[in-house]
Amino acid sequence: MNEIPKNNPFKIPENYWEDFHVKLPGNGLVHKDFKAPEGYLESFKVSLPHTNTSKPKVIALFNHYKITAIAAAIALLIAVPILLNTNRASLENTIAISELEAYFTYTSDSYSHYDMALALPESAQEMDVFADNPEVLQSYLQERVSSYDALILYEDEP
Amino acid sequence: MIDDQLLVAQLQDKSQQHKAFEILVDSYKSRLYWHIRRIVLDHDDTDDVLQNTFIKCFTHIENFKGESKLYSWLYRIATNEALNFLRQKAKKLGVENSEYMEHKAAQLESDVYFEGDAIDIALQKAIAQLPEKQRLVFNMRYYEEMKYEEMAVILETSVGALKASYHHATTKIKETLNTH
Repeated sequence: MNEIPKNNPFKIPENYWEDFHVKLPGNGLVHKDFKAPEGYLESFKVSLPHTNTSKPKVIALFNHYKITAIAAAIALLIAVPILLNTNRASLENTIAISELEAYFTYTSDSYSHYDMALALPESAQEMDVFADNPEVLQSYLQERVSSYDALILYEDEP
Repeated sequence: MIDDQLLVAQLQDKSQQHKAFEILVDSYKSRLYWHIRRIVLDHDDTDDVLQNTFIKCFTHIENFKGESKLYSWLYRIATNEALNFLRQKAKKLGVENSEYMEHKAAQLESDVYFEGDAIDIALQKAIAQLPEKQRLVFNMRYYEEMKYEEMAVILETSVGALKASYHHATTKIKETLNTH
């Protein structure tokens, strides 16, 4: 089989096949202006940054938990008695206050208005008589308070 | 050549990743080198950026979900690394990015790793004057002959926008070359 057909009317430019070359994409391109140093690309190596090949340090979480647990136990040992004492003291105070309140209520109730009225003269006029005559007051009290003389005697004792 | 899906799977597997990484570097170092070199112009800077690009690929391979092709992902990282590199350099010198690029293009005349003639230098100076996006698009289309569809994935933009950028870039370059 002939490479060139007979009676071929088509012509090709002179020296076309001598200059013919296929430009492969990328790698095959010719750079006539810029040059790379001889052997640069052949010997090109990438210096990767140093990577640490040693195993990473493993920190046992249990140790931290252990320390934390001990610290928490000590804190509890200190805190619990303090809290208990505080509660007890406040409880005692509560009791004391309630007892005092009960006492005051009792004492004030035991000396009622009625009792106070008995100790006083029956009329305001009598009060005026007492003010003008101390002897009348003394005799009035002797009638009402039986132990008055005893009180006087008791007071005079050495 | 190893399939990209398999390569990614090996890169994400701790037991195989170092071997897979060597394959990745061998497969893509040349393409990424020239892509970066067109952006930063200087060989030593390219070397730094290329190193950083591969390191970033290695450290972030877990984030690669396979939603795009591996080379698109690598190109995106390389592009971002190169642009960030230029921005940092300009910031350190206290100049604008465009001013820094023009300075780098002017240095090509004395660069031992640049063998272009006067026209090539004039072209590089004209490219350096372009805005960042137009410069990228022009380089990727004109020098790397990348398809707009591929560029759209890498640069995360539309094909229409890329075509417009390329058109503006070529127009500006022609104007610049005609005035000099």
